[in-house]
Amino acid sequence: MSRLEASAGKVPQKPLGKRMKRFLPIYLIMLPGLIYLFINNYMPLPGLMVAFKQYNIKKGIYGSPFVGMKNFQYLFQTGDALLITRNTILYNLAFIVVNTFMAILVAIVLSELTGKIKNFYQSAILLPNLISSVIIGYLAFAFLSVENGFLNNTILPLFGQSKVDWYSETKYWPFILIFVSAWKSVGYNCIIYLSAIMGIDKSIYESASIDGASKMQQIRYITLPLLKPTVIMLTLMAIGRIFYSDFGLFYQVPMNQGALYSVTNTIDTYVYRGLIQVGNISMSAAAGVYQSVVGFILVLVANLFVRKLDPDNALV
Amino acid sequence: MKAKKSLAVLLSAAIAAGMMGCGSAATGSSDAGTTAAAGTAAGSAATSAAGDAAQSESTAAASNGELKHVVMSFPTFTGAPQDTQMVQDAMNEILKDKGIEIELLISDLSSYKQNMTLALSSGEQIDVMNLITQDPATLISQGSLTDLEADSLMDTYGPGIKDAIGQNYIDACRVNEKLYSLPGQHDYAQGRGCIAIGTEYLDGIGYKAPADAGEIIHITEDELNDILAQLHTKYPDMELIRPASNGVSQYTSIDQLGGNMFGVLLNYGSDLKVEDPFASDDYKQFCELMYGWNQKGYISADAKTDTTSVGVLEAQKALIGYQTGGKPGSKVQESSLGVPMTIFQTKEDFISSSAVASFTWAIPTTTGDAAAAMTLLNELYTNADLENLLVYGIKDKHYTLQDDGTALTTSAAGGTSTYGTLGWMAPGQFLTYVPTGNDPDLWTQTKTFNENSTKSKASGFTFDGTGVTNEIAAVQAVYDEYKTGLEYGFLDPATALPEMDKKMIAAGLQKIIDAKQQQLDTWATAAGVK
Repeated sequence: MSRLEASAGKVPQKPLGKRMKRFLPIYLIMLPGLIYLFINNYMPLPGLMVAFKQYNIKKGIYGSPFVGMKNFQYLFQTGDALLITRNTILYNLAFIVVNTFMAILVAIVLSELTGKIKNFYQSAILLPNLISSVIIGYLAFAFLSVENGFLNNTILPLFGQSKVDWYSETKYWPFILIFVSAWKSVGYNCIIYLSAIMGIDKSIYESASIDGASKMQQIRYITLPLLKPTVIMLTLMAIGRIFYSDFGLFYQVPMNQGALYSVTNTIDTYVYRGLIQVGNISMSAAAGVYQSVVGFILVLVANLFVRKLDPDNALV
Repeated sequence: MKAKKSLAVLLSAAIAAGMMGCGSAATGSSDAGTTAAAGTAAGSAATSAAGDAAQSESTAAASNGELKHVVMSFPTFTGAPQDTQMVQDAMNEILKDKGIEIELLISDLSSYKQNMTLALSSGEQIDVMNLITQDPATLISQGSLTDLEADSLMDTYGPGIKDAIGQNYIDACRVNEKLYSLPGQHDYAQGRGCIAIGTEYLDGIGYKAPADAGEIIHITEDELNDILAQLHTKYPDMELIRPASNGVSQYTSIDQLGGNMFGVLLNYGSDLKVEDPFASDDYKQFCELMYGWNQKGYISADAKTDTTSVGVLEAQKALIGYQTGGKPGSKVQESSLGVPMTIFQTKEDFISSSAVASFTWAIPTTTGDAAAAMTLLNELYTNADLENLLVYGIKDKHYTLQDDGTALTTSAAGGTSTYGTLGWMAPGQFLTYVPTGNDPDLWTQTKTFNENSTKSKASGFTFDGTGVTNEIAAVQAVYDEYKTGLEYGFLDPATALPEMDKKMIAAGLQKIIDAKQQQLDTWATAAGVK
């Protein structure tokens, strides 16, 4: 980025029209994406006002009465607000660290493999990402069921342990959820890292091996530093979604068990459970606005840190 | 290099797939439309309903212009049956004399609320609709329902309705003294404290029902506990009892005002004082009973996570008994999966405050002609031929009449059903044939059952929770956390119950109770109930 800016500074600027003309095909390629982005992400923005209104179907969005911040109240009605915010953020932080580490590890291993076996591993590892959360919930249940589960009937007796009531004990769930999340997402994330690794100039590795660098040294001094921009970008994007949780993971995998709410309740599941009963559109919208605003602030803060530490890789 | 190539192919394939998706969606080709709709059950039902509507609109245009077109909307579990058009034509043969022409708009239950919300808000013509899954309080406050007694609409065009339903049940549907909807003929009462137990297991312990016992065997709680203890000794490896998620409304004397637990009437609604159920002895005893059963090993450790229906568990011989609601015909209903069941009852038959006014029939304000809609309702409450067509379809095609006067449907006879709607939802169910397998006298028994049951004093009260939505959402979150634990007997009520109640009070339970009490007092004064 900095190199581009430097070169742009030397060459005298051409008039805007000429530059536009030169890049016209590129703008055309961009057009479908821009239209998609506009329709999907920008056109619904005025709908945000629903969060501040008492929505009435007959009167419509614009005609409904304005009620200010009243719709946000229920989020902070009880001490639950603190609990769900804590759960959402801490789980996502753990996911970012564990999943990034696992994805890079798997990507490096895959990049060293060759031939048919590589394609097989790549597909196999991607499979969990394509399975619906409901099915993942039941796969977990096959392991954790109290009476018929694999863990209680096969694994624990091997170590002479007694049965565990998995769906009542809160202490196990942070580990179970992090494990399931890693299992589910590592395949998808590693593809991105794998493509970044594939993009690294092979001649760097060749000269390194001529200079006598071992495989480990190549990974340590070539692959990892060159992966850094990708890691930072993906992490920044993940931080932007840190206030959103994977609904299926937190709702389906613990089987919606009340006893586990203190460790599995995140903002998404809390809002869902509250509103499935009440069915209030404005309150749902309020929760959405709250999530977006906090998420936006978190991206800016994270980007600020990156700019301080490593200005070349910051997004803006 | 090869890997790079295959990756590139993969990526470009993904992009191409994405763009194709975009393209077809943007052009809105009919192909994309149908696949998208087929993706979800709701979607497909919506299209089929829309298809039906289009079809009958064309017949309406072709037919005699003097007939008034009336659209009747209600759901079934599976959406519009295949032969809806055929049955609709047969119904129109009967209705011709009344100067109306019916159009059946049937959706599936899961998308019914959404379909109706859209139809009503866009002013589409709906003349008669069932209010199942709808929120009547919201519909009324939005002005979506017609006052059925305004300009003596019901007296003029629906003279037979009052006798068919009964004045006191009509009154139980009033909201602020106005009548917006009418209840169908069905069981309003529910036998509380009922347990269904597989008859083969009772034979196994040598249990003999008393000679004078009818379809439902009335016993005391102690006698039931004794039977359960014997069953557990005889079949120690089987799950004995599976609790139900609506256990409170099946196994206590609590009347859930306005359909939720946050502010209730105790003791079968004998007193108009709104109480906190979680501080009541009745709820505590219920939780203690479940906890006791769980401690004794009657309830499976997986009961709270397993969502398999009790009927299936019973048929798989994995379960001995379960909580249920009792009514005439429940023995046949519970045994319908091929496992003969015996029903025990330890509590009273009860009509809760909201029982009569649920899944009622209304005339929306988007009606083309309220008089024609009322005429149709009158026919549906009084004309047996029309009602049988609506529920069962065409005789000897969709059902056959048995010697005892009951109707055997094609699906009950083992064939593929091409028509059938939900009888318990139909306005004049008592006019129809009794489904085969039941006592031919079932409807009379049901009427007596309704008459003889304890009625809540608040029968007909509806709660408008608009002012306390925040509190309801917050208290519901607390209830969800403890509900299964307490009501399935996994948590000790001695510690968990006060803990939950404390959290609920902190979340604003008292504010909901106060709002309910205030609305109930206003309602009671207006309705003259003391």
